[in-house]
Amino acid sequence: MSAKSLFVAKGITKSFPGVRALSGVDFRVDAGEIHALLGVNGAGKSTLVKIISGVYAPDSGQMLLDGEPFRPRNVAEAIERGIAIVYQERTLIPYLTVAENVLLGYEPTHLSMLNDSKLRASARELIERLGVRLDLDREVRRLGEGERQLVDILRILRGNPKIIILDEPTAALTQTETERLFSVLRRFREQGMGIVFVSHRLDEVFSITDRITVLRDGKVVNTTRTNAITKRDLSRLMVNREIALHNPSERKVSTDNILLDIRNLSGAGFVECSLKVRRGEVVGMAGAIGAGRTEVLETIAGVRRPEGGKILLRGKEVALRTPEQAVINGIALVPEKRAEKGIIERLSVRDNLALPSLRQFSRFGVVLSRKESQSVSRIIERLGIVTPGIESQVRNLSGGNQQKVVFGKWLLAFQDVRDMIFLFDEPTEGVDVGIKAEMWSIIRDLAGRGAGVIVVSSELEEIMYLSDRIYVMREGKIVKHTRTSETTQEELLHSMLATIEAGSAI
Amino acid sequence: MANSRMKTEQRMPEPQAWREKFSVGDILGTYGTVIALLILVVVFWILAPQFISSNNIINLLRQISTLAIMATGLTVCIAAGEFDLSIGNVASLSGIVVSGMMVRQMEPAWMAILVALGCGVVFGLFSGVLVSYLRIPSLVATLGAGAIAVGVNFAYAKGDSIYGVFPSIFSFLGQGFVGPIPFAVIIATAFVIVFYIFLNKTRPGRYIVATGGNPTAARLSGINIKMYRLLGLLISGVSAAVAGIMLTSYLGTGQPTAGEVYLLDSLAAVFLGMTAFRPGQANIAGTLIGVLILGVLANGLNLVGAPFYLQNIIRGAILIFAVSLAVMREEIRFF
Repeated sequence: MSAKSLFVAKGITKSFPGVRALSGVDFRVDAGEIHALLGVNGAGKSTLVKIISGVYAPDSGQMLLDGEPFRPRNVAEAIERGIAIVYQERTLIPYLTVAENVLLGYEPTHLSMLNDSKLRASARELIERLGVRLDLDREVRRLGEGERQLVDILRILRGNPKIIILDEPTAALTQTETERLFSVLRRFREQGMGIVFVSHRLDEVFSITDRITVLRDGKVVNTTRTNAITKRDLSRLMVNREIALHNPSERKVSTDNILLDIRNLSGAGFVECSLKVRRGEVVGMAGAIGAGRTEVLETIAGVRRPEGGKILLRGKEVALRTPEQAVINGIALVPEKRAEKGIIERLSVRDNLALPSLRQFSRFGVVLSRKESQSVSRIIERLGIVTPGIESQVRNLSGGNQQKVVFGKWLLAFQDVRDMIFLFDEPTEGVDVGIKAEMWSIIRDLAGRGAGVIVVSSELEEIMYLSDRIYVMREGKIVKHTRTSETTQEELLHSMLATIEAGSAI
Repeated sequence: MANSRMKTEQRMPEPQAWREKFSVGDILGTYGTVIALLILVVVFWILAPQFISSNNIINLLRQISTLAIMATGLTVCIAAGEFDLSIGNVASLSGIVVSGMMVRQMEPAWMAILVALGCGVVFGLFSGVLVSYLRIPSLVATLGAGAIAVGVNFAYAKGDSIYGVFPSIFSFLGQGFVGPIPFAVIIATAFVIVFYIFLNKTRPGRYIVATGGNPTAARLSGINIKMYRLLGLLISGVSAAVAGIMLTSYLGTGQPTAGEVYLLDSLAAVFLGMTAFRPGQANIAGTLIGVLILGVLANGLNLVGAPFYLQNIIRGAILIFAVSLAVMREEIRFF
């Protein structure tokens, strides 16, 4: 290689309790290149990035920066040596201006008095280096996301970085903002910096990067020049083909009884989505993060307002304006991020499980605690929830058991699940292997007893195991619709990340 | 004071479009509170012509000088992201201590003032350490510190008022005049100006604002947020002590609970101020407008002979209105 290697990592290994995040990873960034880091969730991208930026130390392996050994003990050291990272979340002070934010911590002062004109001049100089136009005096809270990101980039430029790492930088950007970001990155490339571009979006990777490294299950699967590989091959590399596809035995063939019929539904984050769920069916929704699946589910569950289209429930059109209305209509949502959206941490297991069902347990507004406790105990037993007692705080339970509580409260609320709709958003996120298997059988069981189920998951294996049919969403639209038996994980991944394909109507 | 809003050369991307639409509302948002103040002045002028007399204006300014000092200190604290509920109690304590030192311990005025200021420093540091290093929420920490201040107050003077003759140099602080202008007003004005410069033009002031604005981002920029939180609480404590001293000088006696009422008014002034100039951000200029509004209200209602309880009702209503407006426009978020 004639290009100068700015950064070299060899044999990086990192484990956490119970999981080997990275094994023997080799990774190299040259001067004047944009290098993409690809991989599905959990492949190890963020661990690698954290090791390079000084958050973690590797268990074994070496790193060289500019030819010198590089073992940062903390983030500040990594920054000092020239590694800069632009996170997905902004690190800005909303009420300060662009100039004030860019130079935060580096203000030119004279005896503690801020030198405003010098500050603005320095900020202007940095902005010119970037080649963009930004209003120095505008409060950052009034900027669009794209411009805020530019301010973050300007901040890291102060340290004269050699390597810039961008973590999913285009997730929240419009098309124009993305273009602008790319021209900035090209400028950096011309200036000889090395850029690491962590992303899901294959289109963008092919448009801006020079080389690609694919991680899978903590190992480097391939490092190649971008122009030497196709999107299809890339998808194939990203997916783990070693897990056998569980083909569940004879599923109950769906009747034509359509429980949920969504037609051209639009809302914040998705447009013109149409899908159907029949009694006894599990329907999977695949897609990358940000594709809009959670938004669709939350709209069905009455959490969000739709902006267009209709929802037909059991044949009748409904307007679900609040979650309460959705529940009354027999729709249960088991949300993602259970700590935020699913459980009330401070309350007991009993309180959490009984919450939607309190009316069943009360007379004249007073809760009959014996009836409540009995029903709660039954659910705990039935689902196998491991807890010291029903009065224990739910936050003390393991992730998997918490997830069972989130689901259990609906089981308690809907005595008979036939014709009810269950929406699962990442049902096994942060759940250990044993409970994961239990959740899978619980979900299939629900369908078996006549409910209609939608499962949103980032794990293709999970979607393929659970679903009878799969919809793939990409950037707010449904781009593919297929029977599980007629597709593969690679095809799903390809649809998730690449161009829109014509789906087959079923 | 207000940022000059230069037209940006770039087209705002779609999600921010609603902010463009609000550009008239922007002006209203920035200066609405000032306009409200002017309207109030006009209304009272019409209802009671003597409102605008130089006598009354001077009176009014002197009346608000204590509040101005206290609210300014509180502004810095809130800008750092913390509340200080002890300022009323600290002001009372400082008043009792300064008067007691002169009348009972027969200390010279400068010594008494020093000790009283010391009380402000002690309680400011105490709250500051509780909040910054022990991570106790400021709402709770300062409530407790305030209660302790009351205890110290009663320990010192048993809850009695302190009557006696103050050295004339001390009385001058609150009662004296420089030409037509009360000395208290000069002190208050200087206070406000100094802290305006501090918060807006010095590095520690900038770091205080950063700490309050986004502590995570501030920390990542290398700012010692613990130190700046502590500084915020220290400043509000010392300001409260200064206010207590000024108040005592004006009253001519040491009143054990003279400062209590100023807590609510200070909070009201700062929140009102958060709707002006830099909506959503505690700022000195805005607080000053808030103080003026409260002062004009009190003075004006008095002049027109309104029953005293009307003051409280109107004050409460204005505070609610001002804050709701800002919350609706998503400019202030209280978690």
